[in-house]
Amino acid sequence: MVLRMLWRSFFEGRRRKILAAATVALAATLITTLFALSVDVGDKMAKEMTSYGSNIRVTPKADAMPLLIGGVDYNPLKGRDYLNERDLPKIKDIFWRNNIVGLVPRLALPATAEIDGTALRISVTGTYFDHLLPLPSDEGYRTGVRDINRFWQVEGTWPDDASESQALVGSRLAARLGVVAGGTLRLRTGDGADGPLRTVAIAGILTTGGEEDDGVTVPLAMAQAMAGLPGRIQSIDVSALTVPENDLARKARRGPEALSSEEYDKWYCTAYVGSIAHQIEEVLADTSARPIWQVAAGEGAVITRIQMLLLVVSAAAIAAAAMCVSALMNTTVLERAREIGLMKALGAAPWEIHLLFVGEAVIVGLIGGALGILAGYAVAQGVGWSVFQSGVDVRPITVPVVLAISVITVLAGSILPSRAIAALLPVEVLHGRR
Amino acid sequence: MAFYIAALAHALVPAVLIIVLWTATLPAPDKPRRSGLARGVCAGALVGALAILLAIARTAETAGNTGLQVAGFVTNAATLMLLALNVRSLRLVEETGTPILARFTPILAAVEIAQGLFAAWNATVNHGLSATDVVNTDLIVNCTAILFGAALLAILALQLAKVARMAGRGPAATALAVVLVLALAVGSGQTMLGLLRLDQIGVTAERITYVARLSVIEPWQVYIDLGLTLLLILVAFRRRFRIGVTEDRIERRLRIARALTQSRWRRGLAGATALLLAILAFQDLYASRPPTLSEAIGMQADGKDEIRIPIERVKDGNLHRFAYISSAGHRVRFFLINRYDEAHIDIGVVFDACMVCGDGGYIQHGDEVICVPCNVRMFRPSIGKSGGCNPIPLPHTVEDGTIVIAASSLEKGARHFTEVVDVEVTDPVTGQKLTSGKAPFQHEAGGRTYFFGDKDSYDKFRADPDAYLRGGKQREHG
Amino acid sequence: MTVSNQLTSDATSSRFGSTEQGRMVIDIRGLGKRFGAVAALQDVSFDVQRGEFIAIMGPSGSGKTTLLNILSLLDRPTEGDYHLDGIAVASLTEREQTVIRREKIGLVFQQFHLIPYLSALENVMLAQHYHSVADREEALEALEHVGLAQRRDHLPSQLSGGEQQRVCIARALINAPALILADEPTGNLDADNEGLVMGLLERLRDEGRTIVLVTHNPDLGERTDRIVRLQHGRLAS
Ligand SMILES: Nc1ncnc2c1ncn2[C@@H]1O[C@H](COP(=O)(O)OP(=O)(O)OP(=O)(O)O)[C@@H](O)[C@H]1O
Ligand SMILES: [Mg+2]
Repeated sequence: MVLRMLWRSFFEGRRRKILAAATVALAATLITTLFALSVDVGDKMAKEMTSYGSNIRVTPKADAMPLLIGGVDYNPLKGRDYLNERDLPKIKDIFWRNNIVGLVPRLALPATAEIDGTALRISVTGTYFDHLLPLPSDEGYRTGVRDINRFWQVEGTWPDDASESQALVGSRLAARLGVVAGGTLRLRTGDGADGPLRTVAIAGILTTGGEEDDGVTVPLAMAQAMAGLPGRIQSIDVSALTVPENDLARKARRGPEALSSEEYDKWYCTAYVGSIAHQIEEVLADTSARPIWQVAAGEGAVITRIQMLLLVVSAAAIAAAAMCVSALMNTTVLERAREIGLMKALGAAPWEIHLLFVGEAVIVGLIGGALGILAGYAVAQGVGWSVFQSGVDVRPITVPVVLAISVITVLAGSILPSRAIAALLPVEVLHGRR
Repeated sequence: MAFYIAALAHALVPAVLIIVLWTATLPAPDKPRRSGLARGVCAGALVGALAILLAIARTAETAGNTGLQVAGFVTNAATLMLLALNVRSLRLVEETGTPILARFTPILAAVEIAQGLFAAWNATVNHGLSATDVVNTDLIVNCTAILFGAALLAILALQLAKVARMAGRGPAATALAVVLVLALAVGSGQTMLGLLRLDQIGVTAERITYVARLSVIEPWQVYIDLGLTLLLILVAFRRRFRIGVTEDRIERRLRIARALTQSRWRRGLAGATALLLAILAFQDLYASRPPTLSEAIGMQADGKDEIRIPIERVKDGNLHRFAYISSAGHRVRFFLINRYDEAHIDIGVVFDACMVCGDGGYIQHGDEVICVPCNVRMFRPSIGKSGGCNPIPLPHTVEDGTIVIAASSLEKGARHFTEVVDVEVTDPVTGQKLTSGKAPFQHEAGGRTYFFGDKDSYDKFRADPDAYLRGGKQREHG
Repeated sequence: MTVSNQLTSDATSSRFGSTEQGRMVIDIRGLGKRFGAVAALQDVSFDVQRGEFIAIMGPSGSGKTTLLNILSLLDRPTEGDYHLDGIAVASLTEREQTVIRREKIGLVFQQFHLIPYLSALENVMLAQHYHSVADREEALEALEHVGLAQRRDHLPSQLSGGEQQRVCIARALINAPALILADEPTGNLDADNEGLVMGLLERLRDEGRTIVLVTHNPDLGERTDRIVRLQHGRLAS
């Protein structure tokens, strides 16, 4: 009977209901947009934190500030501290040595690429491709970017780590210079025209999607020779098998001193990325080892800062929509006062009458919410492209959450009208002279 | 997700049942007066929240938990006493029509709720809601689960209040008695454990046994409680209002409506209980169970005290688990795995145990080898090397395509394993046949464990093991 | 719900009890109702026997509607006693009064008050629903009783005033109430329909129903068993 009444009265007061649904839809659009953005980043961050592999960047202590991201680092060589290449095996000697999958040392230097008389300032990075790194425990240990950065794509062949004349040219740079695999390139150390010149063979064209696409990547030994820094490196990227971060790991992130000795033991003996980094710092003096959280450092930092703002804006939207719904429903209750009075006179319990009106409100809320989700999806894409230069992956959780918020909005809006229903006296409406 | 609902249920179902059944055993007041109960519940929630805040501020979970356990124990005991000593007094009614014992309800409700809330918090505190503070799917799902669990319990309480009245005061009192006895038993164990941890009472073997015994019951408490709820529904069903026959159509409609209302409450409660049971069973029997190790193939040493496994048999890249029963009856598990691929065969031979995490074992999940206790992924080429959470290496040799493991190496590794089976052993002094688990004396020498039938032979052996060992060897060979 | 359930059973038994024993459906003593300074009713006492059809008459503003509201438990008197079917209803709570109202009283209004978006049949079934459970068969029979079986699926807006009032009467009697209260049921009808509705009420009386009718029309009053006259809120003899 209740369902039948809901169904029959569904088209009563159509205009008002459309208006209410539209109000809810507007708020839902806003919330969907903000929520989708926030949850997209949040999920990426959570995934990063709960993955079973992490990267740690080891840099000299004085260099602890993050390296320049994206652009070319034009003056990296002067007054810098360096790490020693011969210390690399020490990393494979920590407690969690077996969880360390690979090590990639790096040395970057500014250089000039010369081809057909044009000169371009570029960055040359030396690293391991597939380098033999004998360890006391494993004479045949090989490591390098080929193993660690599996998504690096090379058109051509990988350079030989022992060679001092093979290089990979980044794909974007190759396009600017107009070179292909198999060609040659003249590299001059430094940004002036007076540095030593060397001719290298282009073993392949490298595509990574990162800054390597704009530079030249060479075997470490060659970079050291060009820079005149034999045996020196700037940073080491360590790839490790880790366990997902949890509360203990988060607590330790504030500094291992914060832990009680029992907690410290547990933390030290668990393969958290933090404890592995801590152990690396223990064996390499004057270094700083930091987990590289890609998302947390990028989009995550933005969202963390504006999350509060998002919440406030959403709350304001909900409040506005709820007030609007409240006003509209109040009118409905006044208009249908005689109906309510009659139900009371027929012996309906108060909750039965509330159920009817709240049921109608919930349907309106669901419809408004559904429309809002569709609209919000579109808006989120637009915002994503203009802010993060990528589409926003609207997570499935958005749908139930926004629908729930829409329903809660109309329910909040129906609190006052419900009181009007409760306060309504049948005598005043049933025997009215009109 | 189910974790949070299950944790809430484990902590709060007994509390809900005790409060609701208690009110159901009281005679129905002439005028419904729920405010006392509501005030009790609110006070309990407040006290619970305060206790949680205090525990966080002073990192005193154990103290807080024990304190509330004691309060809960005393209250439960008082309730049981009121119920048992003087069931008739429950029927005394004030002039206003309110049962006299209804005055006890707010206190009971407050203590139960405070204790339940704290227990729920205690069970979930080390289980992060989410990996990051930024709003994400996990966070929302987990928060929703908590809200859903709380709502489910509230609905359960409401419906049980109706159904218990339909079942009648006798059955409700019986169910309450069972729930209380169970809660008292579990509570006493918890209280004792807390006092032991806080060094308030000394550690004795009996106390430890008592706590251990009761901790076996504890996980089942919620199931028993929910089972009682189902029984009450059954009683309510047997005592249901029957429509009967009547000529009067209006009267008939009224009776149908009444029967319908009753059946709605019963079915609602049955549904809520079944849902809760399903979630609990899913969590306890499936989601929270550690992964099971694959079957270990039993191995026995051959005549040369060696175990030989052809490489051909284990080179496929899968984890091949074996087990060897040591002289002392320890079940020593070890596994072989190809560290590289079929083209580069290099077999890692290791014990199925880790220096850090003990003998929880390792499992293979796709291409990954995972340490079960700590969830660390192994870097496969490193299996066979010691350190970190790697499996303990097992000394072995390779003889033309066969891995050869000396039984003595496995005997030495027996100390890493706790699983013990009974084996038949021989007293090296007297030659008496014994069962390892029942032998009164044992002694370790040269990596082997020897068992003795009496103190005499034990002392003799310890004085000069070599004499008997050589003798034993001779006897074995000759 | 428990309260209402218990009440339901109590009320039911008393309904059965009173059909056999109690003859008094309405018994009011010294009833008074004040609206601030205005005394709408003063010291009204009378009773209605089971099966009686009485009319309440009086000039406009004499307190007829006020009296009916009190009789139908929609309003509370400021003084005096009211026994409905043997139950002292004045001291009951709102919820208890609601239960009594839906089981013992049928109401017919001058303005019909049908739910506009429900069909004639559904309007009758609504009264069943709030009373206990809806029963389509029975509701159809009630419509047949008032001669509207063929209009069951029509909305109130598709029915004439007289037809609407007959649906209203079908709704009032569907739960076999102890008392039917009608406030100027023919006030909005023409002479033909007035006759039809009055005939229906008389037929109900013949079937043994207890009816209290408020009317301005002396002709209608003559056709009832007894007339209670009100004057300035007091009984006029
Ligand atoms: N809610 C109210 N507040 C104040 N005075 C009221 C109220 N309801 C009724 N009255 C007064 O009580 C008196 C009786 O009114 P009532 O409506 O019972 O008259 P009636 O006999 O039904 O008149 P009519 O024949 O016009 O319907 C009138 O003087 C009216 O003004
Ligand atoms: Mg009037």
